Amino acid sequence: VHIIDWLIVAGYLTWVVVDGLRRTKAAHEIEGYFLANRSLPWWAVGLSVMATQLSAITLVGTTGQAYDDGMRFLQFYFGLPLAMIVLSLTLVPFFHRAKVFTAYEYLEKRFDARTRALSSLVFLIYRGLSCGVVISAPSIILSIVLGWDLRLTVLAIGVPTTLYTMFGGVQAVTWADVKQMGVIVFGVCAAVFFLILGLPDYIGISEALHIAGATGRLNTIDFRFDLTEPYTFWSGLIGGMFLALGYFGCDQSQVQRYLTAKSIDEGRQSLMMSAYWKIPLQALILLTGVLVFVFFLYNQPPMLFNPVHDARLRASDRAVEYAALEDEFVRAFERRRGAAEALAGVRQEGGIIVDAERAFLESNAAVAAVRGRAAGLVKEVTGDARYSDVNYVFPTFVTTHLPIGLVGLIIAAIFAAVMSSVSSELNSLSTATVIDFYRRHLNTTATGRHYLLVSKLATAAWGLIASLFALHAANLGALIVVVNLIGSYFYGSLLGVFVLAVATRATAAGAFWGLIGGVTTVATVARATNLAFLWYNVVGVIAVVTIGMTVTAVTGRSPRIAGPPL
Amino acid sequence: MSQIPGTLPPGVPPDRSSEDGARMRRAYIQVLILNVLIIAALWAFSRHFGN
Repeated sequence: VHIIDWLIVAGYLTWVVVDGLRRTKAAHEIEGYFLANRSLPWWAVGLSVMATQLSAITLVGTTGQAYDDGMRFLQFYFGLPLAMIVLSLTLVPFFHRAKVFTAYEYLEKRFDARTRALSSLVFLIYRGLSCGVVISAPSIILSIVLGWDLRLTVLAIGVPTTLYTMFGGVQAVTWADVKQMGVIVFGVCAAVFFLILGLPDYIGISEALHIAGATGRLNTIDFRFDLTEPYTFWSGLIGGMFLALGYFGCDQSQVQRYLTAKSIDEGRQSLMMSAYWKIPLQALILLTGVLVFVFFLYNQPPMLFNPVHDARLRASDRAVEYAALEDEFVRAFERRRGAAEALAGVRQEGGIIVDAERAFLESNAAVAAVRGRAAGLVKEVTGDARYSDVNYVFPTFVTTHLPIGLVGLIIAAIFAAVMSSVSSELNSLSTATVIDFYRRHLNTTATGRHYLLVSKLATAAWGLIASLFALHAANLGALIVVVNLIGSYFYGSLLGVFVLAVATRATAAGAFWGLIGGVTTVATVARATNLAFLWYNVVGVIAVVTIGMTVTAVTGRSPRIAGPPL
Repeated sequence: MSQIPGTLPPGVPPDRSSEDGARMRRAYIQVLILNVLIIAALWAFSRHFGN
């Protein structure tokens, strides 16, 4: 990586922090610090919503997934536009009119203090841990690809993000998100532009897509109704809608974005931005991964994209075997390149492509087989049974094939993707800590100045916790899986509580036991069946509503008196 | 005083800012039509380029 690229990354980090710190003066009391005095325009809030959702895991992970598996992951987002409409009609006006700081505060007004505390606690545990994962996953990748120490990478992400979030509050978070979204979109568009330019002269974009399509990578829509298949049209539309309802409607890191909007309609419009743009943007990111696949048909890729494992195998007692595999890989790659060129040639001449396509697919399978054997060798040598290098594909392409300047821009875009998610998460963790626990239970009569100070300290504390977790997450592989599982259990169940709140006459006891029963049911279903994870959200909602209404019927309906003024 | 589900909690004033819901209704319909068209285009794209 050239010095100019580092200057671009340093310039980006300085720009974001300095601009964030400038916002400190707009956050001199708690309403301004957490909600920007409900004064932000819909387009800034909308970009913040999108930037928060688009983490570096999305940017780096899904391009790698598209390289390896194709674009079918896009179906994951098919339910999102519907969810945005449902939320605009239901929870957005409820939250705005109730003048709450957190989504869980509303649950106390509707049910009771313990339902609010339990929901907020579940959020704090899950979001606190996942914030660490959001930092650690790209940090590990960047530290390996860039040759940095992991601690330095975590600090380069954690310190500036915590600084501007801590001092500037939600104003700094939102306006940084706007800039970061710009950097991300520009970076992805520049990568796509260069990938198209980087195709050989005799391969047009149409041929490139046909070649990728021959391998199945452009099979975007799968209409099969298979409950065990993770990404189908139906799991994306139904399960994805429930997931998006839970994430955007019940997760404080997103709810807080649209609570800062000037009015209900501006809050709604901010969600509509995602409804319009999320699928096209994600399609572009996945297409980038497919184009990287096509690029590496004509430019030799490394056999293993993770250089640490590559070096480890070279130094191991299986080095001779590994070297032989590499020779085999080079031959398989050359054969595949020839077959891809032949296929493009036949297609351009308008000839019958059946034989050329079969030859290409066989050569592609041979390359995949050699890579599979190399991965098997890694698993044997390292003992890491879950080894996969798909997350290293895009960063490797960026650092080894893009021109000076663009490398820095895309590294900055990866930083932007992490920071935009982490800043919103730290801001929301601090809000839930202070509003749902400290001000509600521990110190109910302090001054605004005191709460503001505690809020800043809470942001710093969560930044520290997330960074420390990220530093150790490299050794906590199983814990990361657990964090992701908690998320799957959590959203559907929490959404169920909000459904009970706005659409039924459930009692506080019904909501409380419904939430506990819902999480337990989803955990049981996850252990006992092969149900694809997107369906957990549907199971969670159904379980909470069923249990909540049953408890309500058994214990009798007791009209709820609104909680104490908050 | 009890709260009727689906309504505001007691003491919360109604919001008058979104009386004109026509603009949002149009936006919802646009979102639905646009996304149906996007999914149809993706399906056609898959059929054309996919295997």
